[in-house]
Amino acid sequence: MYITPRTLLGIIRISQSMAKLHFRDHVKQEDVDQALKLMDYSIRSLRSIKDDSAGKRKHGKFLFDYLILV
Amino acid sequence: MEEIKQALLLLMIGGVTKELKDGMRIRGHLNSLLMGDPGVAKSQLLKHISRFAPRGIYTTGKGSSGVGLTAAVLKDPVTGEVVLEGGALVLADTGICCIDEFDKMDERDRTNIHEVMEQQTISIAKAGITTSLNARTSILAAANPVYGRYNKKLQPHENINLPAALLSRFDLIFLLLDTANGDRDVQLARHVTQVHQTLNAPQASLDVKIEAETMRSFIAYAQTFQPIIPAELHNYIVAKYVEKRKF
Repeated sequence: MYITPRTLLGIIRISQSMAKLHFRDHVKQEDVDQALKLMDYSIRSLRSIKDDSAGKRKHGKFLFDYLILV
Repeated sequence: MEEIKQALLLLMIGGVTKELKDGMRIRGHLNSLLMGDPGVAKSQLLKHISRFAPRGIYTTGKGSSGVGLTAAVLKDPVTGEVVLEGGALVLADTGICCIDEFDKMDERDRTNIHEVMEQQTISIAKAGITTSLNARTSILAAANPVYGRYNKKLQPHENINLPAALLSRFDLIFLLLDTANGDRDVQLARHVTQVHQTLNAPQASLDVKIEAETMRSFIAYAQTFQPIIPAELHNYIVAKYVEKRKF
């Protein structure tokens, strides 16, 4: 996910939409903050996915226990 | 999920379209992409939005050809004249076009959408017809990662096999992963079984239930506003954007 000049237009669009949601004729700073929050959430969901191999290890341990039982 | 629903509400309301004196148009419609594992209710959201919006069109990537989405040039069987027939995106003008299975779409058909997503027009130069059709539509697309399911061992761009030119046109991209979580799984299973049994959703934790009709009038009223960005906010937005670019 790259930040391009289109992102800036996106921030403006979302802030305006946010102001419309509150029936306002001008954009407030909180609208921009909300827009940025939404955008950050969107970018973060794409960036911060780490491989959690802990789950797999647990599974392996379970298999190991099973083998001992057998 | 809360953020996604918020984004969908904003998508239905839209921003402000600016028309410059020289005829250039700055898009006000939001485009959004939902990308995720199978079975996380992407298609349900799309279907619901297309039914909910006053003008919504639902289509799937595999079932749509490039001309079917944009416009087709046909020969009238009676008069023999060449006529132009608008496609799904033209029919969704001033509305929302929901495209499911976006990743399964043919690359050539997909490039037809690029123009709509930024310029909001469809230019046609076929069979003696040269014209430009309006397609002021918001696009809400859903797609699966490359191998159907998100592979956490791969980089995000390896999982999302959509070209950067297309991705940059989406204002908001959400990644929905289907991760096992005890509490959530119980909640979800309870919900599904109850819907099956009674055809009614369980009582939500929200104390107010908003009817679809109320919601539609709310959106229609919100759309009458044309907010402007005051001069004192310009520096703030510029600073935030430059900060984002540094990553």
